[in-house]
Amino acid sequence: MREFTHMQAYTVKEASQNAARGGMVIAGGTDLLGTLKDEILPVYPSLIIDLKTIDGLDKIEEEGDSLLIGSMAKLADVAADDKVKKHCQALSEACNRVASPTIRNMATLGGNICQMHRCWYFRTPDDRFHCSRKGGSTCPAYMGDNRYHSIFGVQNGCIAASSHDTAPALIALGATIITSNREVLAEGFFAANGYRSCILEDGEIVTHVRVPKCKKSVFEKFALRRSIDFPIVNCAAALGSGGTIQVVMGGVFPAPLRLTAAEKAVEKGITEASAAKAGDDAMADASALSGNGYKIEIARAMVKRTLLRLEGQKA
Amino acid sequence: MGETSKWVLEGTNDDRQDFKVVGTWNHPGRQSWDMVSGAAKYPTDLYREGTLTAMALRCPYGHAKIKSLDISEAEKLPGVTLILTYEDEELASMPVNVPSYYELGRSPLLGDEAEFEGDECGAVVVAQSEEICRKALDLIKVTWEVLPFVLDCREAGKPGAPILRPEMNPDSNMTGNTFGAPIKWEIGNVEKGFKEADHIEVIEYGRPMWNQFRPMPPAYFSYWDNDPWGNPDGEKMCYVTNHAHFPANGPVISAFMGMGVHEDKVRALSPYMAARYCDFVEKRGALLAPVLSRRLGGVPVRCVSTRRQSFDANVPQSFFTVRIGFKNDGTLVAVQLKNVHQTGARGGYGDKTHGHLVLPANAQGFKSTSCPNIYSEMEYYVTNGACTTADPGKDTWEPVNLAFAKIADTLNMDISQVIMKNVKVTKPSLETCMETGKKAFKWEEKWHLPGKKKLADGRFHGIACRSCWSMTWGMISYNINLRMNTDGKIYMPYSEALIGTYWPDAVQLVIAEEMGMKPEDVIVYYAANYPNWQKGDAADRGATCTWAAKEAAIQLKKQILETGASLFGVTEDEVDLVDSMITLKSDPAKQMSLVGIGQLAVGYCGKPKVPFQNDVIRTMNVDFCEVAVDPETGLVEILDYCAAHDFGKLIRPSSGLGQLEMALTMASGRALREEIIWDKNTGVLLNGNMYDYKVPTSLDQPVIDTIPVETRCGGGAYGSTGVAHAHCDAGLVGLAVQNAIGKFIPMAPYTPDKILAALGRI
Repeated sequence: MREFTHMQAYTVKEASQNAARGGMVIAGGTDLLGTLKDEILPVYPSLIIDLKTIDGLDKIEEEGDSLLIGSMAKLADVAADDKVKKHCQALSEACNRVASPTIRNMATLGGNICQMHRCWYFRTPDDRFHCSRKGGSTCPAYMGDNRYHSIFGVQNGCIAASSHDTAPALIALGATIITSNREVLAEGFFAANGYRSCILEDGEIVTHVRVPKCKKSVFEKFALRRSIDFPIVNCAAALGSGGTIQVVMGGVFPAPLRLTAAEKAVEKGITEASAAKAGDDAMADASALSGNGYKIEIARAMVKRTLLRLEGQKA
Repeated sequence: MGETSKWVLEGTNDDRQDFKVVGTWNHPGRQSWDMVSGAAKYPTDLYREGTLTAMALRCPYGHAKIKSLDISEAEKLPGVTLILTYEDEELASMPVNVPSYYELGRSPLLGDEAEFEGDECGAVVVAQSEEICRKALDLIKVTWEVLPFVLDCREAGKPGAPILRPEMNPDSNMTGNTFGAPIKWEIGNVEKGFKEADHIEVIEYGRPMWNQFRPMPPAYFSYWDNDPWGNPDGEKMCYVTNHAHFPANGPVISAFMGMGVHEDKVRALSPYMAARYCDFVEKRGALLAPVLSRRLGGVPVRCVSTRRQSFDANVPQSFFTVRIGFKNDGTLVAVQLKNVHQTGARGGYGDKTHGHLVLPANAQGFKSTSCPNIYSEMEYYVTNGACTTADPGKDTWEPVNLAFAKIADTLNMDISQVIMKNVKVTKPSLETCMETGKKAFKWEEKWHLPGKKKLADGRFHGIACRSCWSMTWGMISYNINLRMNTDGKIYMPYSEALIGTYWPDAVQLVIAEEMGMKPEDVIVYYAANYPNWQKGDAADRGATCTWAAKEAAIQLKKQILETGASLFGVTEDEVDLVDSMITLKSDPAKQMSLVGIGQLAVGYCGKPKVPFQNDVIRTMNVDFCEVAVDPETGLVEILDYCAAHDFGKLIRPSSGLGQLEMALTMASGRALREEIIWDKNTGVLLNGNMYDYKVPTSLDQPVIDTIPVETRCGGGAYGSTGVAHAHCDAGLVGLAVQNAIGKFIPMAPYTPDKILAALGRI
């Protein structure tokens, strides 16, 4: 790893100002440090701003009909928190499926939603692939090995698959991402955006996530390894007010996808048949690349299973 | 079929029954303590004041040659001590000799042509830190001529494929054997055999390039210094870390052969090594470190690589086409096997060309069956897919078990019956393993015809078993020196790097057992200055080196008893060693401590009296696997994994059974997830990290039952034999998947895409 200056920020404003000047923020560091070590980014930052020294960003609190979770709350803590388990079960389950126990003890909720994509072309060190996310003109995964990539096409020239486990849960639950500048619905927060996987601008820092309480919500993940892998496909479903059901899938597009066709299929209730139809309908517009047709089948099954599990969950 | 092992192994003490120490549990392991406590020092941990760091330029292309190289800016960078390029005469001429088992093959130590992406090529920088090395490497201006590359050995063999190593073979990519031609052999008359067959089937099977287990990226550390006793001629001694154990210390033997330095000027530094499983490959850093240190007057130099760069030596690709002929009763009568094998970017395992005749997955395994007609043809092709290492698995048995599964599938037979019908020598080892393993696994309750059982949750259920030999090495002499010190303890030095097979802990128990010592009074310790000879740190040599330890222990005990007898004033026959005390047999209460009676020492060099490995099938093992296959997602879950292994004699149970668990875990990773993946358009490695290269973590380890079998038929002490090599292949899981879904999948790993394709879902 190359040398950099490490500063401890004590306020969000201080962190934000320094980040705007080219510094990178570090939360748990489980993504950033590996990224720096492998020299994945086109420009190596000279300043790393530690957010762990900012008071209060790791709290998990009830706020009326919502939970307010600090971006620095560790994934293991979010997963184990009784309030989260009771009111936002999908988020608890998602946090509990991120990476490995040791990583969950370091990594934060804010870090997970801001982590960069795991596309192996993007992540190959030394700029071996100068892809569109790094200022290049092409996406090498199109013609290359795309077994883990998008099955719903391109976003901003990129076909990497979203790899956040918490994102589908947050979107399904109708969460709001609170940054140093604004509040954004989680559904609009994620996108292939330069090297970022979200719409954050330079100097903008996620401070909290507000998650509405929900009576029923579940999260499912499919990965090759049970222990540590990023998702091939993940899926969250939540029962909204008025009995509507939100279904969100990750790993199938550069951003998590709201599966409205699946939601429509279970409007009148979740049964074996409607859940299967939801899976089929959700995949109707999927389009496999050269090496990832199998993901459509997995995604189809995951939609069905997630909905059936939601139906079986106690309200 | 049904034959009994006929080997009579001299001197194994295979009828001894009165064990006090061997085979017992709860002995504190010196190695395991070192490893779990962090006390173990690996090459990456070593540092001396003034240590410099070295890093090599790495090629960004799948295959490329340097057209021009400008190091002038890099040399100006503060902190840079030395930059050597491919034009350096010493580097260009090395290795002077081509040591056996050395991955460089016929390539220079630092050349101008990179044979794969990430290959060390063109220049090496020595600087005050890794940071400065990286900056200097960035400042080197390189113009590359990008050359055609081939990643698949089958493609490399096709007419019209680019010739990758014309200096080795100008006509084709076939390399890695002395003759530059396919290797063919025949036993019996295969065509006649096929005419006698009731059924003829063809099976295709392939496996990708696999990485070895990589706990950490390798580093090589070396310095030259005065030695207080080892260099009376005034020449400095070369100290170098050790990343190999076979046939001696890889870097050490490479260093003295490459640099023209005699072996007695080289000392191995590290007792522990990581980032590898077995043998046959050593990396350039191993030789660069001592060369660079010597060039700088002996200053310590640490040659490092990143995690990704450590993926530059892998287990080769191999593809089989197996045509089998068999009778209605399942008897195999003809085998015709063609194996296309990858020799790696260097064109082979150094000059170990003849090794190909016995190691890769050709038809050798069928020689252990009763099949009278076998034809084998192998082709070896160089590719641009990294260097190759030996396969930890016993891949010669993979096609054998595949053939058995095909016979079982065709005839609706139980594969365990096909195994017992066709393996030549079944008594006592295979028969015992099969019986005990089937019982433990509940085979009779679980077995069914392929594709005929689903679990309550809708998943397909499948089981399979496969047999393999438990290797007992007879080709290497083991050199054991034992001494009793004035403190009354027994000391045994070793200098081989350890890869986690715990052989010193096993040897400690054998010495204690044979001499009548308490285990804690036998100290097996690492000694860098000890002559570098084989002790046996491989998955299966660990047991057979106990042979030499036993012989040495017998000799030292004799000396001690002679001394003790004279002190007691009796004859040797009247005393014994009991719990580290010289004891009068007629009155066991009369004992004499060994403390202070003097120093005694013996040396023994020898090997188990067994023929070469391929001809020995005294000890066998049978593995069993139960899987569930999700028909909607294609995910395979291993429900039960059971190994009935004939240890001959289980010397240190915690180590032996641990080896089994390790090997089966390795096999499960290879079967389900692991493969080296390159970008087909550029030849760039895509999954050179521990996320994308999916080794099992402890949370992914399947449930493993280890069933020790002890027939006392091995070639090591007390009839012991080797362990882990025999279980690391991926084929068994594939056979269980076949039993589950009713279809053979022709390529490992058995990932969801392949399963869903086999099920016709994509």
